[in-house]
Amino acid sequence: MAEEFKKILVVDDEEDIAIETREILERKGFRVFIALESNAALDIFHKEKPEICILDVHMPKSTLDGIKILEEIRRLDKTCYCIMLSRVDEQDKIEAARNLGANRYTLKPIDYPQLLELVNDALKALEKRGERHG
Amino acid sequence: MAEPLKKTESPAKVKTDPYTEELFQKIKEQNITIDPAVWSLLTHVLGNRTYAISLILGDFLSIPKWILKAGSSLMKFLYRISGNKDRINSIDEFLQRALNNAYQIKHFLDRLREATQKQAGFKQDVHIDDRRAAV
Repeated sequence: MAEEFKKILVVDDEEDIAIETREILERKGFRVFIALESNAALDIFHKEKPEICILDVHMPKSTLDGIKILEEIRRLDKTCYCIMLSRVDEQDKIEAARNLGANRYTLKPIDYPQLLELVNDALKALEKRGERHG
Repeated sequence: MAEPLKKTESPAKVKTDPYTEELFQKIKEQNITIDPAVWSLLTHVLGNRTYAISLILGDFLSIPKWILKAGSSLMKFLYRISGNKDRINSIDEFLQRALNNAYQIKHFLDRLREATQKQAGFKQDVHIDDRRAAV
């Protein structure tokens, strides 16, 4: 089961954040893919089928924002655990994310312990889901 | 396989000063708000930079203590033999101080958001029903 939980896709148009997140999570044993914009994100999603996605909601440098990427991901896969990170607490974005099947919506900035906690929680949820579905 | 993740301790409590508290109180009493465009800019620049700094420093501080200690000892030794007489902090002390300052900014943004945004009901972290996405 743990083998299935190895891949994480991080989508953030801030390169420093994406790279640092990858370094942190790779050191914890995950295979991490980063995308700085939506087209690359969806290409990677198609190819790698990650179990966890960490999506930045507001990405001015990307064609699609995090909500639209989530929508595309949900068209392809209903099981991937999606964590939305936003810098603004807009209720309409939260509702949209909820309706599209996001699993978590968190305000940025988060810190190192919070990042680990988010991924830990995702692992637990995926494990539970695995137990539920045998 | 991916190992269970260990949480790194958060830094010391965020300090507040009377001057800042007084201004936050004033903002609340006078219902002062921030234009959404200004707020967006603030969070885009300060929020993203604070996020990056806290991840980078938190990552560095997660290096095993004995390695940081050994690195600090070598740094102190080299500092001393190169003719410096002052005391120098260890690597983790420097990092922790910088990280505490990043936390101060994060805390400030959270409080400013709370003080200036009037709509109720938003939580910092929303757990969405997991069953919704599960098949």
